[in-house]
Amino acid sequence: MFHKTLHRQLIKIFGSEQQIPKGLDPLFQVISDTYLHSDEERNLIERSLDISSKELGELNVQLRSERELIEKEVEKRTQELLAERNKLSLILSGIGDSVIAVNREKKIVLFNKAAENLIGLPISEVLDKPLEDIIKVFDNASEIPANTYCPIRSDDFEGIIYNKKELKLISANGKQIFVNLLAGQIKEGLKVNLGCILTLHDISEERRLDDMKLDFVSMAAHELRTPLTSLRGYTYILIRDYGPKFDEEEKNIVNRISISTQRLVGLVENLLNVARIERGAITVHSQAIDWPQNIKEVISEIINQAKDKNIEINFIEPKEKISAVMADKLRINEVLTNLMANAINYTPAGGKIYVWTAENENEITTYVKDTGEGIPADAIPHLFKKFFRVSGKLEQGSKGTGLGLYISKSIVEMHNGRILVASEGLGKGSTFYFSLPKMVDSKHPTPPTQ
Amino acid sequence: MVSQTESYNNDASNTKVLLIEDNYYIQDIYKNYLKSEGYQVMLCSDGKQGFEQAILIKPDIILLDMMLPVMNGMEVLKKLKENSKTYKIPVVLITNLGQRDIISEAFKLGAQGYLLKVRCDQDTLLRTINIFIKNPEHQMDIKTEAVE
Repeated sequence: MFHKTLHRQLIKIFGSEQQIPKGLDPLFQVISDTYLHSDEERNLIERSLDISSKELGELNVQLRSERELIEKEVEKRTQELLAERNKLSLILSGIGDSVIAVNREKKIVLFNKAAENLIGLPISEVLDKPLEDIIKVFDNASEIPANTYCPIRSDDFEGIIYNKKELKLISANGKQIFVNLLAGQIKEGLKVNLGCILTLHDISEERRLDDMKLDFVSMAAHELRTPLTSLRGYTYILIRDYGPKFDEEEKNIVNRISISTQRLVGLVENLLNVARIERGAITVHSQAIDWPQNIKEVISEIINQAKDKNIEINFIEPKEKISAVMADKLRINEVLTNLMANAINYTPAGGKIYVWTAENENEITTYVKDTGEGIPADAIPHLFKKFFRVSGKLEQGSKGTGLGLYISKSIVEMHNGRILVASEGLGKGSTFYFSLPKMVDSKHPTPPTQ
Repeated sequence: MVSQTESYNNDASNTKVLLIEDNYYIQDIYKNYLKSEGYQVMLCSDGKQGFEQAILIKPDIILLDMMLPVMNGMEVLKKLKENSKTYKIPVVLITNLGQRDIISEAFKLGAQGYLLKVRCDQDTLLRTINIFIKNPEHQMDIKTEAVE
C-alpha cells in the first residue's frame, strides 16, 4: 500500500487502481517512502511550530503584562511630574515674592505672577529677553551689574549665591521698586540650561510705612517746637524780670522749669535729627571751629542741668593752642550736648564729668568721662544702635529715648570721624570719645564746605 | 539763671520793627524782647495785614513768619520785594519749620536772614536785628546758619 497522497495521484494519472502498472511498484514504493518521510518531517516541524507559537504566546502575555506595568509606572511618574510642576507653578503664581529664572545666556525663562505685578510687565513681554533689558538694580545711587546680582557659574554648587537687602529696582517701563534680592543656582543648571533663579521681596510697602513714620515724627516734632518756643521764652522773661526778687525755693523751681524745657527741646531736636538721618536729608557744612572755645560754650549751656544734680563738669583745657576742628558747628554741638547730657543723666548726684582733648597728626579727639554707672560689656556693641537702651540695673532709672548715641555716631561719621566708648564695667564710669578731622593747612582758613 | 542782655542798639527808639506772626504767645515774647531793648514794635497776625502795614509804616526791618493765615509768608515776601516802597526793607524769616529748600527759595526771593524760633533767645534775636539795622544790605549765609 502506497502513501495516501501518492495513491490518489496515481489513480488520477492512470484512471483507476487496476490500470496502475504493477511493474513500477518498487519505484512507487520509493516515492511513497519519500512522501512518508516528508510527512514525518512536516509533522515534526508543525509540532515544533506549535510549541514555539505557544511559547511565543506565553512570552507575549508576559511582555504585555510587563508593558502594562511599565506604562502604569510611566503614567504614575508622569502624573507625579505633572503634579510637581503644577504644584510648583501654583506656588510660584501664589506666592507674594517675585521669582525670575534666567538661562545661561541670562535670558528670562521663568517669570511668575508676582514678578509680573512687581515689574509691571506681562510675561509675554519679558520671556526670552535678556534680564538686563528688563530690570536695572541699584544700591543707593550706584548700579549693580547683572553679573554681580545674577551670576552665571559653571560649578555644581547648589544654593544662594547672592543676597542683598534694600535695593532699588527700575524696570524697563520705568517703574521704581525697593526689594530684597536673593539669587540661587541649582546643581543641574549646566545640564538643563538654567543660569540663575532670582527671588525679589518687595519692601516698597515697608518703605512707605517707614516714610509715614518719619513724616509723623517730623510733623509732631515740628508742632512741639511752637509751644516749646513759648515755654522757653516765657521762662526766660520770668527769670529776667522777676528772678532777682525770687527767694531760693522760687529760684530753684523756675530753674528746674528752665532745665526741663531745655531737655525737652533736646528731645524734640533728637527726634527731628533721627527723621533727617533716616531720610538721608542731613547735611554737613564744615567750617574751622576754635574747639576749646566751642566746648566751653556747650558746657555753659548745659551747666545748669549738672549743677542742679550737684555734678561737676571739668573741662581740662589743652595747655597749648590746638588746631581748629573742621566741623559743622550746629551738628557737632548736638554730639557734644548729647554726650554731656548722657554723662549727667547716668551719673549719680555728686559725681564728676571730665572733658578733654588730644591732638594727633590728622585728628582731634574729644573725651567725655563720667564717674557714673558705667556700661556692662555686653551692651557696648549695641550702644550706638537706634533705640538701644542699656537694660537691667540701669532700667530702674530709665532715661532717654535711645536716640542720642545713634544720632551722635551718625553725625560724627558724616564728619569722617569715629566715636567710641570705654567702660570698665558697671559702677566704674564710662568714657565716650570721638575724633574729628582738624584743619591741616592754616594758609587756607576757609576750606571748602561739604 | 539767665543774665541780663547787654544793649545792642543805642538808637533803638527810632527803629521800627514789624513782626508778622500769627501765634499770640510768640508775638508777645518777641515784642517783650524787642521792647526791652527799646525798639518800636508793630504787630500783625496775618500775611495780608502784614503786607499792608509794611507799606503804611515803612519799618526798618521785618520779622516774617512763614506759615501765616490769609496770605502765607512766601507770598508776603514776594509782594514786599515787588513793591517799590518796601523792596529795600530787610526781611528776616522766623519759623520753626526749618526746611532748607523753603528757606533757600525765600532767600532767592530776597529774604536776607533767618531765625529758627525754637533756638532763638532774646540775645540771638537782638544781635541779629542789630546786624541788619547797622547794615540793611547784610545777607546771612544759609549754609552756616542753623536753619533746620
